[in-house]
Amino acid sequence: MSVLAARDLVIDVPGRQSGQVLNLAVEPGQVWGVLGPNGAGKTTLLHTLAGLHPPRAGSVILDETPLARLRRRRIAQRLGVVFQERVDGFPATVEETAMLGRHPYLSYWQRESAEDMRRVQAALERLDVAHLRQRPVGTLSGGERQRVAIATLLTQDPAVWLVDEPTNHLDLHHQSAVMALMREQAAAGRALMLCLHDLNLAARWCSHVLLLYPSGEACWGAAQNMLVPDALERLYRQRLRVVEVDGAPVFVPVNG
Amino acid sequence: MRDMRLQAFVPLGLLALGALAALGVSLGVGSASIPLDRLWAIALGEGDGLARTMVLELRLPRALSAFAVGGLLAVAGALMQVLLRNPLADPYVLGISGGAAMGALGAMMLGLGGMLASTSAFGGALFSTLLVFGLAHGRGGWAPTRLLLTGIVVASGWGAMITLMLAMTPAERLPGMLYWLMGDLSYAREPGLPLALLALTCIGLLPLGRSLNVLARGPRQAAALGVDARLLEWGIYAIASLLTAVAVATAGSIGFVGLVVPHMLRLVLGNDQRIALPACALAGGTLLLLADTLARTVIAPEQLPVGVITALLGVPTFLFLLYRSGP
Repeated sequence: MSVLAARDLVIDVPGRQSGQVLNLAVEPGQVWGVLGPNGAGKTTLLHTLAGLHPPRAGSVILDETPLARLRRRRIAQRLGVVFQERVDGFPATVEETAMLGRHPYLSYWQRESAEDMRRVQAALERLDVAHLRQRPVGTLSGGERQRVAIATLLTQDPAVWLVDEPTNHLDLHHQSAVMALMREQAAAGRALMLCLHDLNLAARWCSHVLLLYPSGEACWGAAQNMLVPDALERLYRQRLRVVEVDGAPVFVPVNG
Repeated sequence: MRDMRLQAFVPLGLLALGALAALGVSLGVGSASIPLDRLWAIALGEGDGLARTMVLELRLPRALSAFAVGGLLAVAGALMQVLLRNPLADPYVLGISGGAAMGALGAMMLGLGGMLASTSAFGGALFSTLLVFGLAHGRGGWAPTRLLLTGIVVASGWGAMITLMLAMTPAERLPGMLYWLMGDLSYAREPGLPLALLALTCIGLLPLGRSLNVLARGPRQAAALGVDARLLEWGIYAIASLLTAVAVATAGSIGFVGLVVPHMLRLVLGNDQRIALPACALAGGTLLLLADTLARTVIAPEQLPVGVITALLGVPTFLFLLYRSGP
């Protein structure tokens, strides 16, 4: 049973005449990677699936109910997003930022409980940023801020994770750690959709892949069926060589 | 959690005590000083006639008006800063006070005063708010920079028209208009409405505090965390405009309170709106109450416009805090 589905969905990318109709279902335990060149509409797709950007046609279904019929609070209890850019209007600490993840679950008059605090602490430790707890977010490095954003989503603990470039700004070690966290979440029954730029991360960590072309065309399916050199070369208009490392394909761009 | 409650109540308690102390000072000093024990006697319903009349009928309404106006301006400033995610936003910068001034001075130029001038100021403030926010509201929401720019341009437009009006006004009407422009509480005799509005706003905003914290991260992030951002933004905008309009209609245009008070509190107390908004109400009220007390006593029996005092106190304090908190 799918937890998130696109039904006859056409995403609204400015300046694009038409787009392919998307009919796909994301199930618990799956990790979807969205691949495509710059401007193909990966972020727009993610925002549309989160109900933050109106589609041109069709609908997004969360737990069998169209998103448009759900209140934002109810959506946020089931579906969480990590954005590519972050706004910080006013200084806030790492801990306060991660605590925002509990907002969907607290009523108007409720204050954060010790249990909420414990979840924040656990998330910060999991993302290796617990030592920065009292630091203002604005003083952190790009990679540290990315980890705080993922920790906020972990604190929110939704059934559906939509993450725009999870490994942005991260060093190699934390790239692996974050991708391992994503797979761990999938194993725990969450459904994940990640916009990725790195083919090799998709090959190593994703169960399903959606290829999004600048023309608006799209195709999707199990990762091993989608990650074939022909399709990928056409997607990026870049020649690739494939080598095998530990049984997994590794794609290397080559000249010519 | 107990320690979080404590964190919230200690600063608010201190600020409330400060407000009470300021009220005591303001009622006690003036053309005739009244010591604390006699103030207490008057509060209990005793005391002699003259002092009683002076405290209850002259000083108390003015003091309460000053407190209410200060609180309203500070809360309005804090709300606009959250809305625009910019510490520069305040009713002054956004041109709302300018619109109010146009309304009031227009009425005064025609020889209308008192209630009519206040009503006209209220109308001017609302008109200017609609103008600025309407012009700046593009597709999909308010871009903070665009809104600030629109506000600044509209404010300078009002400034030019005010200067033009002053130049055309007969000399005998000028002093009243100038005092109004710099803020003047000497005609504020009805503290009921502004005080009630301030209390209602603070209570009404209490449950929204956490949503405002989320909104400070931008409307998209707020929506992703379950906040109906569009509705909340319009709500804040309406409330902030109403607070400003009532404040300027009561006491003329008083600058700096809406800008300086939220900023100072933010540097000391942090950015949790659940604490910051009530703290703004108390601190803004206290500041304006003290400033007004100074304004009517420094060169007594002459009175200074209270806006001059708030600016003279506000500018150095603000610069000092900003300098000290610098990176």
